[in-house]
Amino acid sequence: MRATIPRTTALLRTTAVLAAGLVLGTGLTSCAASADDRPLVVVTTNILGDVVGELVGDQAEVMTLMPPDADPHSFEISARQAARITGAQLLVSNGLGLEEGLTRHLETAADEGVPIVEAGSLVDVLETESGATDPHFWTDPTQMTSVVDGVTEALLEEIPTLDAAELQANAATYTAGLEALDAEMAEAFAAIPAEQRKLVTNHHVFGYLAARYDLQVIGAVIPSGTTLAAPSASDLDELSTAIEEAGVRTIFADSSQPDRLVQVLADEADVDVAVVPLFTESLTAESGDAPTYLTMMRANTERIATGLSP
Amino acid sequence: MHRLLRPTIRPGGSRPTDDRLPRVTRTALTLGALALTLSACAPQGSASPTASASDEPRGHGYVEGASELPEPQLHLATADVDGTVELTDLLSEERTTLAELGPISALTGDGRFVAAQSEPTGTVTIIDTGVWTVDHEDHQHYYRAEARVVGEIEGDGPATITAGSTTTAVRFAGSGETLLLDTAALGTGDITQSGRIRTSPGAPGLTVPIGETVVATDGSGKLHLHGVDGDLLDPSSASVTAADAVLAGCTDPAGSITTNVGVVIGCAEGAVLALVDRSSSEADPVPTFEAIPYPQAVAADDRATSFHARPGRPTVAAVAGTSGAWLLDTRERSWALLPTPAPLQLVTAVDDRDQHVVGLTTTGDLLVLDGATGAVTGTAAALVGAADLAMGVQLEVDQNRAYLNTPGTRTVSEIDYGDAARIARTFTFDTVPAFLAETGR
Repeated sequence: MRATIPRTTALLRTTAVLAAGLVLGTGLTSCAASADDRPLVVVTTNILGDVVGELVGDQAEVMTLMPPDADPHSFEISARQAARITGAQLLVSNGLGLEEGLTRHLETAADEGVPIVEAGSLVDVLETESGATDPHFWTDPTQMTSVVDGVTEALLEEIPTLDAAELQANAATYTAGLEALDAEMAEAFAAIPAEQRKLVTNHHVFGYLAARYDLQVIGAVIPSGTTLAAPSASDLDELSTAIEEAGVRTIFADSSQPDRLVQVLADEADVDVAVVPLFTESLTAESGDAPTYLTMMRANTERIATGLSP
Repeated sequence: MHRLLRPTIRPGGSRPTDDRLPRVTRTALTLGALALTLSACAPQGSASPTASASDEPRGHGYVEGASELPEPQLHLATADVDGTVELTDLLSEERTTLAELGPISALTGDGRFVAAQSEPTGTVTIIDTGVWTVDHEDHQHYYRAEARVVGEIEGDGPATITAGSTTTAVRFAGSGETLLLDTAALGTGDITQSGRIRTSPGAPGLTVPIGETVVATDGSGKLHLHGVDGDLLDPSSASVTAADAVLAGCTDPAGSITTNVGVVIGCAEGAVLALVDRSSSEADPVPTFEAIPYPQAVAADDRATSFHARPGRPTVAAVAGTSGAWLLDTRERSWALLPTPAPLQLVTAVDDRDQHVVGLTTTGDLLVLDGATGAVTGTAAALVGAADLAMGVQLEVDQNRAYLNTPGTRTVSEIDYGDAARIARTFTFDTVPAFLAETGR
């Protein structure tokens, strides 16, 4: 696991200056860039880290605290990272209670006078079923355009040495990308018959996506591998009921034994479905299917649209 | 004058050492894990091409080489009296031998670590089964890493191991001494002692870590509050004084368990519930204490002295003499007595949506009870024999299944308590599964 991934890769995509940077996406470029005099922007989650990297380009070092394939609720940081946070010119956090493990570090940084922009304060916040604020706003790309606007403003305000024109150009480019993504998603989900726009899943992170594109999230208990080894009907009761009531042929769940789950549902509950995992709260490593925010959203859109389409 | 054997810590089978040990690592089964986590980037200002472990970000309970998985990595740790400790993967049913320890007298687990005790030699071997669950109340995280023997602790007499989030206490009844170990260090393969508590030798008692403090009995059966260094906390501080008032009302403390609400300590009057405000960042780490008295007068033989439950749930169960089972709901701060058709030898609360309670009668029948009504919803008759009962069997529960060992037939039964005590699977062993602990929960 890499501790820090300064975003030189973003620069390679958004400017023509460093055309010689051919090792895009490898750790080597990242490391070469970390010992420089550029201003430091610290970002908590890797999803926001990707977006902020696209905005600042090579003008600042972006230190993302959350490693790839991690959980934003539970990752913790090293003493070295914690020490660097207080030297940041700007700290970008998700907020809305997402980064439980970082609370103390964020408070320390605030006490030290590090300006913090909380992405959650820039969006239209939804409530979860239990009435809590839902921190997973990135599943709606139109919410991310507000984040881009707000973070860009904060960067300009807090780091006067940044080239404003370049930053604003990057922001405009990225916003256009978000708008294109939104249009693609809207088109893909609109093609699904209204009565089948139901996500039977054990992930409760798609509330914003569901609200934006008129889908319904149906939470369900997915049986564990232990239960699947010698199942009884009661083990599958809730899930099979949810599937039957939703009338869908795909459920979206992480399972270490998806094939076994499909087989047991067919044998024990007479339910014929596919099991498809989605990317939820973290980007993957470069080698994975969701190394950037935009690829993550496109991958999920494709999986949902394919799974729910007739 | 009789000289008490001082508890000492040593890694694996090497020589005994002093208690202020440097961080000795027993690398029994795993060296490969380290290589997986070398940083792609050298730390700033470092000449080394590899980051040290301390520079890596750490997830909750993160250790080198651990991976997070979408569902619990449930395993059964079993051991025979000759000390062969085995781990059975409940998903794949693969079995591996973790350690060959020599004669052991008990195996206890906390959902990740198991402690194998050898009374004759006074050693406790701590094994990291490499699978664990981190409970965030509204969601869980499931981790898997290599299993390994962490090391050995030496002491006098039967040991009781109580794991806390910060500190793990190992109390030796013979000497009355408790070693306080750093729980996080255990996860990285080190036995690091933060302190020790000395009480009267031979006296019954308990030592329970709670957050950054430890509640312990003294020789007279009273409870006291210590720091994780073992020192008594300043008795003049306001919070300790307040705590003392509740602790003073706990006569003859026996039995403890940690729930997602707090830590339970059994008393003659009922229970004391210790709570740590997890959202507080105050420097004063002292927990608050509440008394939960029994709803009625309870004879000494009928009081709860040993609590069991599925980890991370608020309701716990205890045998109530020959009357049935006690249920203690730590969220509601209430007791309920659940009469059973036959006296229980063991009982544990699943505390799921259907409020399942699983018990084993003194005649070897397994009962599934509805915790709300006390109705028997399932029975597996004569699951274990008299010889097994005399030897002492163990009953473990997780979110879906219960597990009971039957040394006489070299089996462990997997019981579907949600389906009228149906025997879902039976695991057969080459060695006698005299001791049982479920991990990955």
